[in-house]
Amino acid sequence: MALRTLASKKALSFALGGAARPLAASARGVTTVTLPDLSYDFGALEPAISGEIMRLHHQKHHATYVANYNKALEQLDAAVAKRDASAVVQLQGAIKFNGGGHVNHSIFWKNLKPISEGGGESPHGKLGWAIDEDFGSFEALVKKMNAEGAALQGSGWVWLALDKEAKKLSVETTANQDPLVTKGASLVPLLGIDVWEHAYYLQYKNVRPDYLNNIWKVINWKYAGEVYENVLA
Amino acid sequence: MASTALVAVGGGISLGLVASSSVASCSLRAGGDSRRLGRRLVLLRRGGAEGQSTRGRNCPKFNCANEVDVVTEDDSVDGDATDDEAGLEAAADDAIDADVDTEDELDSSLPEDVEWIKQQPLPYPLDALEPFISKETVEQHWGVHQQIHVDRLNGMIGGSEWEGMSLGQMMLASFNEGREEPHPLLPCRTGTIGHGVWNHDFYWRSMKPGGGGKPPERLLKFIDRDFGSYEGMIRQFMDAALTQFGSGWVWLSYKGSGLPYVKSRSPIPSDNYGRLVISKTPNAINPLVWGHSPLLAIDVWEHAYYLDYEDRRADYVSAILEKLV
Repeated sequence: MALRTLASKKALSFALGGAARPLAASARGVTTVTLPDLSYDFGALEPAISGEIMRLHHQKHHATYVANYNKALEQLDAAVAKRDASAVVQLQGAIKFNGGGHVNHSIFWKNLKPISEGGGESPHGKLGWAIDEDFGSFEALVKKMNAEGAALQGSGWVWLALDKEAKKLSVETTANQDPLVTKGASLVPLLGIDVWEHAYYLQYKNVRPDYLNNIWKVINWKYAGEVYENVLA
Repeated sequence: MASTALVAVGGGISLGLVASSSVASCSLRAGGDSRRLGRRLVLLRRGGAEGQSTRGRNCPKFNCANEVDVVTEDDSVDGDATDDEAGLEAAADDAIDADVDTEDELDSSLPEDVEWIKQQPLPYPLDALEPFISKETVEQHWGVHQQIHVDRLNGMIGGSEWEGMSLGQMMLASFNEGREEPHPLLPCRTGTIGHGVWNHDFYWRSMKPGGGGKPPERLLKFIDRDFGSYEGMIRQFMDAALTQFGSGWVWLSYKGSGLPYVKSRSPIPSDNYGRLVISKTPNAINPLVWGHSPLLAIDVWEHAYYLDYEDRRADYVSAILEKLV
C-alpha cells in the first residue's frame, strides 16, 4: 500500500525537449512550453479515474504533446526565418494537434480534484445560478454533457463553454485535440472532459458512459467558478 | 418499390460506362456515380473489352454480408504475367466487389435470406496473434467493440430501405461523398458504424499468426515500383500511422483509374492512377469511398493497441508490419 503511494507521487515538472524553467527559451530563442504539475497524486482521483491512467495520461500523452509542440515551434521558427511559406503551412497540422493537446490537457488537470479536496461538489455562486438559468438545472447539464460526450465519434473533448460576448453557457464538443476556440473565438472553456480512449480505456474499456458518469465525482467546480467570475468581472 | 428504385437508378447511371471501352481496366466507380444516383447505390464495374473475362479470374470475393472469404496478400495480386496492371486492379476489385454487377441484376441481386449484417468470425483463434496483440485485446476489440457495431448497425437498418444491401454498398452510400449531413435516408451514425464493421473485418484479415515481413514477389514488384523499395513503403506507412492524429486507420490500397475516357497522364506522378498508395483515414472512413481498393488495413484507434502498447502506437504498427501482416 505504501509502495503504491510512493509509486504514484505526482510528477516532477520536467519538459522533454525544452528547458525546466517555465516559459523556457531554447537555443534559438523560441519560447517553449513545459509540462505543468498536477496538484494531486496520480492515485488521488480513484476510484473515478485510476492512478495508472492518470500517470500515463500525464507522463506520456501530455508530455508527448509538449515535446512535439516544442519541436514544431522550433521548426516553425526556422521556416519563418527562411521565408519558407510552404513549410510554415505544412507545420500547422502538428502545431494544432500538439499545441491543442497541451492547451486542453492543462485545463483538464485543473478541472479535476480529489474528493477529499472538494472534487465533485456542485457549483455554487454565480456559476451555479448561470447553470440553472442556461440549462434548467445542474442535473440537466450533467445529462447533456454525458450525452454529447458519449455520442462523440472517435476522439475529442466535451466542454462547458462560456461565451464571453453573449454571456451564456453552452455545451460544445471538439474533435481530436482541437481547442475550444476553434468552435468560436469568444468561447472560454470552464470545464473540459477528455473522451479520447486513452482517458478511460484501461479502466472502463469501451464503456465510455460509465467513465462519464463517474468523472463528475472528481470535477473541480471551484476552478470553473473562478474562471467564470474572472471572465465576466 | 423495386421498379421505382430501378427507374431511379437507371435514370442516374450513365449507361456509357457499362459499354466496353478500349481501356481494359476495371475500377470501383464510387466517387463519380454517387452524385447521380438515386436511392440505391449501385457499384458498376466498368468493363473493358475483356470486362467479363476479368471477373472470371481466380480471386475470392470478399462479401461482408454473408460469406467469409479470407483475402490474403497472395490473392490480391493475380498471377497473369501478360496483364499485371489490370490484374492487380481487377483482383483488388474482386476483393471488395459488391453484389451487383449490372443494373439489370439489381432486383434479383438482393437475396431473400440475408438482410442483416453478421459479425464475421475471426480467421484464427483469439490468442493466435500473441505476443504482439494479446488475447485480451482481441477479445475486447473483436468480441465487444465490433459486436456492438454490428448490433447497432442491424438495429438501425432493420425495417428500413437499407436492409438487404451489402455492407459495401451501405458504406459508400452513407458516406454521402463526405458531406457533413448524413445521407437523407440514414440516421447519422449508421455510416460510421457500417464502415466500422467492414473495416474491422478487413483488419482481422490483414493479419495472420506468423505473418509479417516482406510480401510475396508479385506484390513486392509493385511496391518497389510505386514506393521505391519495401523499406520506403514501410517508412511512408509508419509516417501515415503516426500523423493520423486522433482515431483512424492506415491503408495500403490500389488507386485504380478514375477517369473513364481520359487517357492523358498528369504531369504530377502522384496523381496518376494505377498505383499503390498509402492513405490514412479519420475515425471510420474507408478509402473505398475515394475509389481506392484496399489491400491492407491497420486500425490505429487507441482501443486497438492501448492494452498492449499503451501510448506507443509506433511499436504497435511496427509489430504488425514485421510479425503479423
